[in-house]
Amino acid sequence: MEVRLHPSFQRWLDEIAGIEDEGVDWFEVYVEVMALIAALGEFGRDLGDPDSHPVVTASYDLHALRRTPPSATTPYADGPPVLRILYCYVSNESGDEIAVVAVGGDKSSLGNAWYQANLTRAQDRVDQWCQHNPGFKPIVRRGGKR
Amino acid sequence: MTATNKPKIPVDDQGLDEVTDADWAQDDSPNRHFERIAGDPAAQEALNSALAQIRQHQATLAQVRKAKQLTQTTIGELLEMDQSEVSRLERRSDMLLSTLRSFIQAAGGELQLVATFPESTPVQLLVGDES
Repeated sequence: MEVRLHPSFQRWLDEIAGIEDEGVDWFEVYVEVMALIAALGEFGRDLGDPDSHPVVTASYDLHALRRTPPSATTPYADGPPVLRILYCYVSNESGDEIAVVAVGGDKSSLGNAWYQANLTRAQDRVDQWCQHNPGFKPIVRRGGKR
Repeated sequence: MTATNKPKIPVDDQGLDEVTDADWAQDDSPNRHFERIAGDPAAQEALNSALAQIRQHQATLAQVRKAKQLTQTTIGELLEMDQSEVSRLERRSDMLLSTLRSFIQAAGGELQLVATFPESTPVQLLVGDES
């Protein structure tokens, strides 16, 4: 599966890759995000639990890559990040499907409330990506409106 | 970033109008990031091990078969199919549940179907499970 990254998401990736914050190795987090993206490229729509889960409240065919830390034995002062990376399937007229990665974040402090704000942001970014990549349209979830 | 004793991962909240034409002109494939990781042997090793963990959860039919060190011919004999049919089966995105179940059984496993619902416990589905 071809995977493309929204520029804002890439900016976030570069930010994580670059920061050194009080001994916390964010580069490790960056690598784990990229492992999920590599898996998305490898498995495409076959990627499922626990590494990817559909976002059923979205209008678009939106999914979340998930990285839930295995243990608390990490250097992070506030607990290891619970990463969620939202991506959406888009297709063109020939039916080619690709995955556009839109938003990343840590939902550990917000819990499932993280999705509410970021779902809209993700769908807006996917719309914007499609404007810059003419021919591609977001795949709308069955029964989804937008 | 403000000083705090609890480091937090940055928030990915750039607005739509903050994305510049120069940003859009950049390559938007993930390659640049994989190359950056490949430049650091420790990071590449961490990526490989994270990916290996993910691969343990995820498998295509072909990967299930290979993990059990079976050939398409062996599976084909068990399913009374030609090797070429097994090859096609492994690439199919849709098939009868009975076909899928017999493939998994041929590989020495058992197919379980689980339906998940928001806010309720997962249900083990019993579909045509008479064998």
